[in-house]
Amino acid sequence: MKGIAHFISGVAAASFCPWVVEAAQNGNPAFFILGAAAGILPDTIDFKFYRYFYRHDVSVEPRPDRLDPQPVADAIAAAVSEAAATGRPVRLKLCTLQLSADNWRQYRIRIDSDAGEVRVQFGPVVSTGQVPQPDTLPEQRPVAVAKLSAPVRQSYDSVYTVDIFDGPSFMFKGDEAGVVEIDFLSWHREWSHSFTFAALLVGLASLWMWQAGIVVFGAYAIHILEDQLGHMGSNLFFPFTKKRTSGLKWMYSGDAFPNFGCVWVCCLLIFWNLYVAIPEPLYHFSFFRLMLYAVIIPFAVFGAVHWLLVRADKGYPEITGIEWNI
Amino acid sequence: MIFTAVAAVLAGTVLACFLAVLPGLHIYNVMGLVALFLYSLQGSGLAAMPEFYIPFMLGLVTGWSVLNTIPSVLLGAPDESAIFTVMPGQKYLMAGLGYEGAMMIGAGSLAGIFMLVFLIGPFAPKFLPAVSYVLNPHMHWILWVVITFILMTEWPKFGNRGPAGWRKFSAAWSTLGAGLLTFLLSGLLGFLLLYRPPVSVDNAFQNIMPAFAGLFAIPWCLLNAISGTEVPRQYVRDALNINGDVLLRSSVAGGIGGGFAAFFPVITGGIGGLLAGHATAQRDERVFMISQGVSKVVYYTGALMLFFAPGLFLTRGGGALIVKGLYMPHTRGDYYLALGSIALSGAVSFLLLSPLTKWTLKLIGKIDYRRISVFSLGIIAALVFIITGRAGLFVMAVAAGIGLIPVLFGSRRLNCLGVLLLPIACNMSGAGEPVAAFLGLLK
Amino acid sequence: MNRPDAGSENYPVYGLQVKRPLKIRVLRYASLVLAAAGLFFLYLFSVNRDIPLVRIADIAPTMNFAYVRMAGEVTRDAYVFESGGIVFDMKDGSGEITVMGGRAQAQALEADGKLPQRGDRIEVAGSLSVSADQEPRLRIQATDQLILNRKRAAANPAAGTGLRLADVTAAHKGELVTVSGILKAIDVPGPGSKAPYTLILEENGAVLAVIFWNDVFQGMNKRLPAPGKHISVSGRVDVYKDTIQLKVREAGDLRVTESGK
Repeated sequence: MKGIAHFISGVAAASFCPWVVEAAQNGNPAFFILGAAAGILPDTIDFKFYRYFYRHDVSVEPRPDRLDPQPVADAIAAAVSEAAATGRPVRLKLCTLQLSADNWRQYRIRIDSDAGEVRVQFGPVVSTGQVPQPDTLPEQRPVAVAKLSAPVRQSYDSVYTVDIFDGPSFMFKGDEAGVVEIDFLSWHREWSHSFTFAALLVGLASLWMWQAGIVVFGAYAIHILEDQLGHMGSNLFFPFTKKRTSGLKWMYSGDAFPNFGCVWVCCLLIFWNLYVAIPEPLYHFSFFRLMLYAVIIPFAVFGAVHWLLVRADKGYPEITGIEWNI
Repeated sequence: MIFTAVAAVLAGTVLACFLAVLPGLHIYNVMGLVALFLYSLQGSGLAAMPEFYIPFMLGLVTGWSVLNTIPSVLLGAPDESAIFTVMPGQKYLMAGLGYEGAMMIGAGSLAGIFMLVFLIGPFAPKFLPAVSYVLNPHMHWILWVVITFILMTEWPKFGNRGPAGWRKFSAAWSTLGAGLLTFLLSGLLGFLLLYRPPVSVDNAFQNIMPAFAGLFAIPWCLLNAISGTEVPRQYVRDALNINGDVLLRSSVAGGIGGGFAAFFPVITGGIGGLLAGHATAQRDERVFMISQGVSKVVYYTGALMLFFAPGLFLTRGGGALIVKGLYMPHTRGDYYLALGSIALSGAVSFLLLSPLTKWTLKLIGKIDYRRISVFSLGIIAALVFIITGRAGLFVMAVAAGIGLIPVLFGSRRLNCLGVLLLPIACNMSGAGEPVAAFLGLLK
Repeated sequence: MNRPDAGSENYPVYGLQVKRPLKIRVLRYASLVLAAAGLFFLYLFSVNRDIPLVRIADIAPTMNFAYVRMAGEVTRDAYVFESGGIVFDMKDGSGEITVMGGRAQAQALEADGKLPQRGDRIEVAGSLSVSADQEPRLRIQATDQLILNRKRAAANPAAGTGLRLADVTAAHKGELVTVSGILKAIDVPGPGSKAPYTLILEENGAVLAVIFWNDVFQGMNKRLPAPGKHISVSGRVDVYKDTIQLKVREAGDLRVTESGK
């Protein structure tokens, strides 16, 4: 899920604690701020702190003046081979190609576990918004192929697009059977998204107030559980568990509808919890009525209009204009 | 009575046409001037009819919120050395599609007006009083939570390369640190303006205006003025590269963002847009641009509209604050006046958008956009001086120094809103006075 | 930079492309719909707006032709001109103003029994006439917007000496007395007649004529009590052609009472 979904989920989790709402009614925002911060804390730890100290064994930096995909493919294949041969994890980073403040050269990698090979191809220049810039495809766009010396097992997608900001990183680790497991973004959710780490934070928060500990745990746990809906999963009981528990694969983190749905429902839950805390409210409505007017009807109307508009366009997909041959 | 209102709306909209084209000029500054003029009339024993100046103000705000798309897209070519984050509208300009970019955002503005008049307008008096009743005691922590979100979700722009370690960490945190520093410094400025404003008490209703001009408008004009990039050839056609579904998704995203900002105090359209953009997870640049058009209109015009909503009469945004000093709405008739003025002004503004955009394209073909930015800089400074005097100019200069930090270090400009967010959040939570006392502002 | 290039085949391609771009004229038609809706809302505004309540002291020269409301007390009985117009004065605590109306308004007010009288509480709407050479005036446009609350005579022990009908004699001429009796007969003057309305009261065989004119009749909302009712009335004793009669000056001085009260 995107950051805001985790953030508001933390606030929603806090709102279920009566002391939180009571404190807020008395002018004390601390618990809600704590819930909000704890909700987004796991990703903050990873993306703003841990990843800058995470060491890679191999850093692949393509040259912008020589767009040759073969060294990229060879580096990945070599990492697989090393992992299979030594049994030690090999951490590989694919760097992005920043050409200017707002322009990045895009390239794609496919790790084809069935064919036992990795394929790489360079693409257009894209903006930071990932919009391909016109007429920027390289004249020659060869597809580099490198054979993998060992079978691989992937927990995430097989196609990776490298374009903006920080490039993806992988950890290759061979098992006793000689199969190399590929972990995408190995530094992410390695320990920060674990219930054990949450317990540590709860302990720290409880030094102030036990109520704060409950709030932190609720918000942190919600984040972990939300991430389990996706593909990557998390290492839930670090250090007792060593690997990420795969997710339910119900959604991708950037999917619009689940993210918005989560944010919207959380806002309504917060509203409801604030409402029921009013001793003698001026307005009277039930939970069902709130959901009907705020969720069911608007979503139904949106869905209907969206369907009609797509139908009116005869479902024409938009043209991307970029072909990939990997 | 209809003719008076129509004439007033059209007058406000036409005036907005001229004002909107100037980059960096904010409509609240002009409304402040209009209010000063009306106050001086009252002081002379004359009275202006609310049936004239209310639709006039509504026409000003609506027209400006639709038409200020033009300078945001056309009058600023991002310079490689100075700009870290290029706005999508400017990318369209550099691709030769400035007209289409402006019209896309304008389409969003039109959608926003439709939302206000046909969706939010009819339902706001029915539902928003209950929402306001429940949330009013909780505004303080909502504001703090928004501040937490703004500060915690800034993305580091550097630190993508090189070996792991403290150097990489410091490179990443340079932008984040600049963002935090911007927020704190602008918050400090906000405390000064709230407790010991240097601006004369006679014009206290505009004492925040020089700060906003310095934090946002001046840096943009300055950077435009020193930019080394030329605007490429521009193309015009009578169609936009969007379909109904793109418009629908953008309207939802922008409507939520603008509506959130219009309803909650202190939250501006930029913050609302940020929240909605994250919440709706739309990656398409077109959706981003169109939703900005929606959000802008729903925020500026919606905030003023909610002031007239029966059962609510919310005072949100500078426009409502200025009008409140002149007139208090009482009846459903006032609400119809507001809705009618907004609809009429929105329609006329959109119809004017195309010819104005083409005219501006011709203008920047003849006059360097850098000169226009310098001219605009002069107008902003003059307005600040007229309304708030030398003290205001000084505040503006200080704020400009703070406003240049995010531009030069690549952090979010939104952090400059600490000027309002921090002192008001502290006050709402009861921490304002201790902080002000600590800063020595209460002696 | 050259002049913008209109609709050429070299139109740049940027980002994802839709197959059927949205025509700008569709948005222009939508804005016309919006403009029509705007005019409709402005119409709703004009029919729903409250007429502003204005204090007489706040009337300024710039308010000429303003359509306003005023609330206060009538200070001069309404006078209907022979030409048909009507005029009366009112005050609201901040000043006094003359209120005028045309023939149609006068006739309508008379027909409804709403001719204002001194002491009545009134709320009236009309257009202001403010000019340099005369005092401001309010011109009534619609009699529906005139709301009248008749002045009720307070229970006043000094309203008149209570007498029995048989005890009222010529010696009491000019005195303010209060009598009561059963209404036996009513004599209504003909159209255009200047004769008063006459009520004949009877008590224990003694009779007395109670008279009043049109202004009092208007104050009674043009409703006369029915014969047989017990009436209490205060008025000044008068002698007209050797006939003792009681002149009533205000509508509140004549009340239908229950017998014995």
